[in-house]
Amino acid sequence: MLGYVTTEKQELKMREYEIYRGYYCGVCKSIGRRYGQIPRLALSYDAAFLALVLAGIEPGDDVVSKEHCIIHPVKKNTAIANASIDYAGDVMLILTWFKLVDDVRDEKKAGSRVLLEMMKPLYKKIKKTRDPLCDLIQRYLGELSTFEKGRSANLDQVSDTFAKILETVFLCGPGQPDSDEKRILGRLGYHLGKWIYLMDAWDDLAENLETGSYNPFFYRYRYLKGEALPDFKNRIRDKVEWNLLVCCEEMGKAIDLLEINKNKGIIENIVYLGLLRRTEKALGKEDNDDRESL
Amino acid sequence: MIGNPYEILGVRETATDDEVKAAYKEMVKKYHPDRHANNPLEDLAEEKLVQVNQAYDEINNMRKGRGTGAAGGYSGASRGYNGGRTATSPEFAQVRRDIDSGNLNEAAAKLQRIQTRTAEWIFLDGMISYRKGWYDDATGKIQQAVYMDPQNPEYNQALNSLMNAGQGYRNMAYGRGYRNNDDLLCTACQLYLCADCCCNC
Repeated sequence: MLGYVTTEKQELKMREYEIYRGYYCGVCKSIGRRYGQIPRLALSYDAAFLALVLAGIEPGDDVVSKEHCIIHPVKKNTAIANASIDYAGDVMLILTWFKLVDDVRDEKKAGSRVLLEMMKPLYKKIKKTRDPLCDLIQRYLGELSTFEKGRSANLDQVSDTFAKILETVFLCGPGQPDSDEKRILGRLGYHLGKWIYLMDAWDDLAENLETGSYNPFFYRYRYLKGEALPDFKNRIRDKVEWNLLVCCEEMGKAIDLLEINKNKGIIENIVYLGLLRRTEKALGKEDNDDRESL
Repeated sequence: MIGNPYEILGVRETATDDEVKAAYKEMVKKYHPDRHANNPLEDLAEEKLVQVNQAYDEINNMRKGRGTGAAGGYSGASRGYNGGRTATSPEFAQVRRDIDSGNLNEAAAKLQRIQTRTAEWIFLDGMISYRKGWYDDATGKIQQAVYMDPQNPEYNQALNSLMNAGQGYRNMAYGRGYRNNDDLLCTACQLYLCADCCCNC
């Protein structure tokens, strides 16, 4: 949904890069094949990671094909198809759906009502096959919105609900993980969700300050009225970094314990290099951008 | 036995003794009890470490016959958390057992029934938060426990490992080739990467 979860490309092997692209394109093609062209826009790299992990613990190798693509009609691209990829595509669309629902409720964006109407038949179709997942996500998002409305100053409490969404997402895949694998997957998902929520909150600080909407960091670290945003960010940067890296550390521990049959190099690349790069980029560069815009 | 010991260590059968040893050390680092202490997945890490130790022993035994064995395995962990445990009342001991077995709701309920808010009470409350994944919350509580009982090794150690969690992750990342992007080549790579994201899909 947000596209924070990416690889550290220069550290990937060529073969791994091809497979990574194959997963990304595979999710896109899976969505296109089953639901038409427009919903493909909901795709992000986060979906590829989900599919890589869930397929990675399944036995057997992936079938790789070279296919044309509407965005690149001339050049053939690597595409992979499997049940985890289909699932990741569905998850992206479900999250997009709830994002639209949220936008309409908050009247944030003008076109969202139209998009929501357009997406309704699609969501109904997905809900038929992924009913428990849809219901759980809806429940957790409801809790999240309660905490946000209550202006929670507890980072853990407010991110917990979003973390549980990703935990659920990692547990409701098409495979049959054993009980130990489920514990690991749940933990991986939980901390990924928490990390994404906090990353998003950090990136949204400027926008939230302007519109006066809720951001957990303003409450947790007591934003002072009139405090310049760069000053606030400097004040909390180390604490935010710590919160983010604790999540990364837990994700690292989780994947180290997972029996990974395939995609191991890519998964480790994302968790140990991609997430750190993304975290540092968000925390470091942001400040300069703010100063420029002031 | 547990399968091919070489596969477990992730090396080829033709690997030299030094390569086997290096792979083994990597694995020990991954599954080290200090790294996974107090973690809900601690038991899985222990199992892995046992496997890795067995695999390493087996390879060494096989190679001893050929006279090339690499000696010197990893022998046990410091087990800091258990070693440094505070002497407790039976009530606290029960709460600890519930936390260890992952029964957090029960642990929290038992804790609520204990009236006196000692340093240990606050510490255990913090450990429940920790096990839930509420690290910010846990840090505040454990800090308070340390403040109330500054000499307690268990509280200090828990606080330390919590504060340094990010550093552990960072070290693993650097071990895997993470570089700071400040040289020209990397800038060039990044530009390439950005361009690629836009048009190469």
